[in-house]
Amino acid sequence: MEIERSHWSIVLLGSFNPAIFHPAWFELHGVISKEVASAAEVSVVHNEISNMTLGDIVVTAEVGKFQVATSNAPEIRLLDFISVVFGDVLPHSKVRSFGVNKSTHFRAVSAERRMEMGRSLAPLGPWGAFGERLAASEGDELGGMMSLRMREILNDEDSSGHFEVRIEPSNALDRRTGIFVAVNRHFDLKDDGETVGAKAAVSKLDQSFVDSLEKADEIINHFAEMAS
Amino acid sequence: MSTSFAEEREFISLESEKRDLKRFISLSKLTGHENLDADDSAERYNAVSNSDLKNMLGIEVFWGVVRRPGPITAQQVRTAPSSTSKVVEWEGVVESVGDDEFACRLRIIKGSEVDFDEFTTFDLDRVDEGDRDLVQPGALFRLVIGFQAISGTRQQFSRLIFRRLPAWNRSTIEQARAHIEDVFDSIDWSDGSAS
Repeated sequence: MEIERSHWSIVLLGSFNPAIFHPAWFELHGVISKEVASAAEVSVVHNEISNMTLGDIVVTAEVGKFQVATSNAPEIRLLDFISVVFGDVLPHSKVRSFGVNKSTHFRAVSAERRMEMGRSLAPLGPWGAFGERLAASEGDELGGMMSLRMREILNDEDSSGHFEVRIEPSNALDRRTGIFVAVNRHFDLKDDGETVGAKAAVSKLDQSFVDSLEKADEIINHFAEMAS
Repeated sequence: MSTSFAEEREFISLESEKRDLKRFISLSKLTGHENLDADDSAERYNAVSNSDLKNMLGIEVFWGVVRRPGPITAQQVRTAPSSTSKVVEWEGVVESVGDDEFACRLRIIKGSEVDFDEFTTFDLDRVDEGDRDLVQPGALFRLVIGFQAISGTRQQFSRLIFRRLPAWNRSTIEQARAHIEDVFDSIDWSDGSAS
């Protein structure tokens, strides 16, 4: 089963100054080329939020959050973007948590197969009379699972965090067969009093980015096989 | 606050509250005076304090209208270009640079079982004009060949993207040197000599 749409993002949580993030600033620091900066689409640059599209990378900065996202491979560009901005240019920014995300849309081979997946992931038995009504529904009134999230707790010596997977029907592809899977690998950095700052986050991100996305692909491919 | 990406159905605001955000929010809508748009006087605008608006939006407001990114809609997901799973990706290292082309070594990253390095040359024309100054011996790039979904149609694509990596600084070089010395010292040499 082919993944039809992919989306990757890195989200940092901490303290940021959204007003400084502008295409010209990114160009000045070598994060993007002059050509990309001149063709950038800026939605807003404000003290509290900045949002712009640089090539096919969307950058959003808020006071407590900074995120970069793209729907086009190679996704390693997101890691490079964050590494230059917060590893080189703003190494003393406060970053306390970060997440690596991947989401995909694909189609089940049939509406029946998608329903079978939903029923196997969220059995109707435990839902009592409500579950019985869902089981009896059909056609345009077919009811069932709308969203399911599963979380694995993952701690190591310098971070605590989790690996969370969400699966839902997707209207973006097809109302009857579309499936949406989103994966979030979240890291809360342990503060040992010395490594506070973006540099530690960038280092941890650099170590974990590829592995996080490989694990994301593993569960996404598992669901894609279920749907085929 | 979550580090998951703000998807179609929700947007996590600064206070971690879910809000139904609009791409474009008029002051009258914010203040609940939608039916009184005819009375669009400065007095009415001034009657709304910035703190009230801040509570509603989660951000400071200095103008009558604020634009902020809205959640991605299904329509946007459907029409925006997006890579499919059929992608083969290599990491390349530039070996030498000529007038019109550069020679490189390629190592597969994903999408193929090939496990040996490949050597080839690419025309400099294949590199985005803004990235040509990055084409230097030792520079890293990614070559991606695959399919892309654009507004419901699939198209084959090939992209050669040079990586913009952090600069090497003195402390990083010293850390690398110390690491190599540690590795070297840990080797039990056959002639019993120390490093």
